[in-house]
Amino acid sequence: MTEKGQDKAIAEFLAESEDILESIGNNLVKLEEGLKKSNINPDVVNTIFRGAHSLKGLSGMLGFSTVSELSHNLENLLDSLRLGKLDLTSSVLDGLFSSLETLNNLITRIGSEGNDQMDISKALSTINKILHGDSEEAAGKKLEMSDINLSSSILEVLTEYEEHRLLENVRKGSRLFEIRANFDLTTFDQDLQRLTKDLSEKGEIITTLPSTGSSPDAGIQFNIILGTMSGEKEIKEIISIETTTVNEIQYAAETDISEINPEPLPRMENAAGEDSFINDIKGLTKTVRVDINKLDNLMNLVGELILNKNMLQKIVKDMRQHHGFSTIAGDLHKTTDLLERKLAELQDGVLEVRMIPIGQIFNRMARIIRKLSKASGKKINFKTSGEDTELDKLVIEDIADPLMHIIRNAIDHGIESPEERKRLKKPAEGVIRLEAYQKGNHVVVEVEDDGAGIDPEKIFKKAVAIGLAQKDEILDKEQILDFIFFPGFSTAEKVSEISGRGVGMDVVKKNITALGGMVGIASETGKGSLFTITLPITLAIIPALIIRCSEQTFAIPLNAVSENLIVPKDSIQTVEKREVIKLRDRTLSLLRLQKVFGLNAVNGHSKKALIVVAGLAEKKIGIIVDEFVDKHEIVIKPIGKTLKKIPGIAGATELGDKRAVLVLDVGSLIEESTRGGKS
Amino acid sequence: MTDKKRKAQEVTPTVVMESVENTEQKDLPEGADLETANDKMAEVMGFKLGEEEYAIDIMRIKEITPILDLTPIPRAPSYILGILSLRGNILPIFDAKKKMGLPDTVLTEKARIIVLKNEDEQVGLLVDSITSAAQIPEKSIEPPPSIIRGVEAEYVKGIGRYKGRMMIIMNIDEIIRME
Amino acid sequence: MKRSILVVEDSATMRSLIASTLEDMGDYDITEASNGFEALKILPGRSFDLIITDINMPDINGLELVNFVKKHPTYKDTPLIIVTTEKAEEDRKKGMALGADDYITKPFSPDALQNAARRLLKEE
Repeated sequence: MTEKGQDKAIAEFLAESEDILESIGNNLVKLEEGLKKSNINPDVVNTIFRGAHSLKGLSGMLGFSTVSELSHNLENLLDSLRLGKLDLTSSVLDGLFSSLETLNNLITRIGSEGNDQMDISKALSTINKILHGDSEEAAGKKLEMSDINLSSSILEVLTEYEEHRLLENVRKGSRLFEIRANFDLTTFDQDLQRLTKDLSEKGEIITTLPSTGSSPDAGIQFNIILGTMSGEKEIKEIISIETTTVNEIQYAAETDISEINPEPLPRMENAAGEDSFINDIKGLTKTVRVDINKLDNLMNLVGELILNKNMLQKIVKDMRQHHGFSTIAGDLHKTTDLLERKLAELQDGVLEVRMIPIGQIFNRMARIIRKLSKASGKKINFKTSGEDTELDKLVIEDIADPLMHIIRNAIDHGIESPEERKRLKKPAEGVIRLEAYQKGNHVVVEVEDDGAGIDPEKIFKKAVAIGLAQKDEILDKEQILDFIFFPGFSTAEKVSEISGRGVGMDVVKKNITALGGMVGIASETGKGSLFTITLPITLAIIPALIIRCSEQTFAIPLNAVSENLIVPKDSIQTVEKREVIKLRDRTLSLLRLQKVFGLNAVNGHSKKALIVVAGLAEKKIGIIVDEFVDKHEIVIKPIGKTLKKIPGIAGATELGDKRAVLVLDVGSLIEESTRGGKS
Repeated sequence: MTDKKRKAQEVTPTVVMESVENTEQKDLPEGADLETANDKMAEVMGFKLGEEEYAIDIMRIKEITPILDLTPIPRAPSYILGILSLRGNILPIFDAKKKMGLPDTVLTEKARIIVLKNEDEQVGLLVDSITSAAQIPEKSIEPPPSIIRGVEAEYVKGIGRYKGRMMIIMNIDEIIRME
Repeated sequence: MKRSILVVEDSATMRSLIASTLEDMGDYDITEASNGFEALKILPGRSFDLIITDINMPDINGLELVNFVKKHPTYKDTPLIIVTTEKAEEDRKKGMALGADDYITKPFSPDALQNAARRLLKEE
């Protein structure tokens, strides 16, 4: 293969490996839930096996021998599990989780370093211990395939796994049926999906064997072997297709079976309504994997089209001003409107492709919690809701780290040990709740724990000690708690007994702010803490309010604007050197861009002041402006890597007149104004 | 000093590669000395900053544009004149004279912005005027003296001569770097 | 006319590796299917000069596909290579017994695949 081909193959390998590992992880979580209820879905085990198997093959082909070796061992372990040679226990599950983590690390390493050179001896020995430490390998359980009265034409096509599932069904006393269905070639895919869905409600489909029907060029026949507790009549009843026959397959020696294997596996059953066959077919034929960069390019193109549309609209406006309402101006206007609508649809379409449910991240968090709970000996009940809430793929990627930090903190320092909880008359099991929901143009993610909470007094003392606050300063609780997000605060000293309080909370805030979001904290001593993260749904194209100030134009993302006010100038008061106004019984701090950005002051003669009330979540400020101009769809572009991030400015955009316009970063402006001179 | 010299030599090969191809295809460029015709050529674009003529590697230049409306950026260093929107790209514009500590001059209609490729983004460089493209034999480029009329050596790659003119070959990466 | 090859494999990377290895060999019309079920949908009305299939796939697996192809009056003479792993010896034996013409074992070298394909396409 050419070098370019090799690079492409590696990129594909990385993408596919990540998918495989993600899916293994999610399925392991499912297995764990199944294990708790003693109801393990064999399909899930088999899917995990296939994942490890694919990974082994892929990594072997590309010469990543460490990944190949580990996935090979993992595959062996999973093979024993799916073939029933090994029982699934929580310690086996631990081994699987830890192997998965090692594999994740290896793949990450390939992505960054281009190689997979890492010591995996620990992971390998864990697997080997599970595989060989299990001495009581179901010694005499041999139930022979020959005990089952299956035609050789079927027997010779069964894979080892299918044989195992067949025997397993016999062992638990299922009845076996062979269902023959003839389908037309043109419609067999839907027909078969319907049939397998119906049948899997009654039992386990062991194999689906296609064969040439009576008229090979027009039809296709499927022989399905079903293991079920239902009788022949029930099976026949659910089959709606006429050309189907049902025959029971007899097998011998039913009575001895339970003695042969005194300790049967946890009951394996298909989860009702969940049919992996159908899901697999859909998954494989109807989805495309797309490089996020390609979507970005597409989004940029849409952005540029919108700029062009804005220019057109400007031309239409000029035309009307200069030439009046001529026919041609009217036609152009109509066409531009149509273009605008279609463009909006296109934009929605592209945006939608970028949206993925936040549930993906939740699953990742579930694995982290599981691991931390094991490591710390704290029992944790992880509750999630709103998994379906959708966010831009890039936002999702970037929110994982901050979420992980918050959860890690909650477990390390929030949730108490089981003994301590007992003493406090709390349930031994701590609760971490992760919830996402959409709120207007934002998605809110809440992380709540029922642990010890944060003591504002301790925080305040610490803040004074490291010079963030004055000893005699009077701050409300919210302001005090906010100190944990200050750089240097978390590492200053331990707040609780366990070391490393608040690891990187300033980083958490930085990452979230970089996404145009905000994070807030509420906490009650002894009862727990609640982190609220507010995020924009997408970063790509957003509506913005265009304002002017000191003869310069600025854009303010509309999702950060709550209202525009026009107030008499003399209603602005000065309290503690800060300008404020009263707004519905609340005091709103005001901010002048001239002051913040050092612009030339323009003395207006108007007796009115124009104020944009901006803010995310609960914190709001009023930005005093000279003029409200318009609303516009904008694409925020970075000002350039060479320019370090300037506080107060999120980037730049263009409105169609080929002039760059700065986009205000409301989050950091609020921060600046609330911190005042402290930072 | 030897360090700087090595740096200057390190950067040349990329230019060399380009010009080898060019000299093979093209006839002798106008103004090239016959005796150095077989020498490797550095292709540069010349421009004026104040009284002096400077030059940068032509391969780094994406385009040259007249000065359009710039949007000033508050809180940016003084050598950032502002940003420019060029065909959908937003680029920061550097004032080379401010960055290098040269005296300010009054801009005329000859002033231009040189748009440079910098990794995968673009930046602009404001110059007083464009002089001409030039091919300078690699061999004749001299290492920079430590101080050239007030310009610190870190901004200079070397001194080239072209048609009897002296061109200060700029270390462009140093100019568009932010502290 | 270009000769046509059907590649059935559920891993996209493996599939494109197989396809590009074949493309290195010559100019073929390569059709890809991501599982046995898709292959069944592709087969009617088409004829292939060679089928290469993985064994371990969801729903319709490779053995079932081999069985189907080799018993089908129209396709039974189409040469077929199964792709298996070292470990899945039983499955490999069954595949060969069902009429597969050759097998390769993962991980395979480009040569192994190309040799087997050349032999069955009678291009040696």
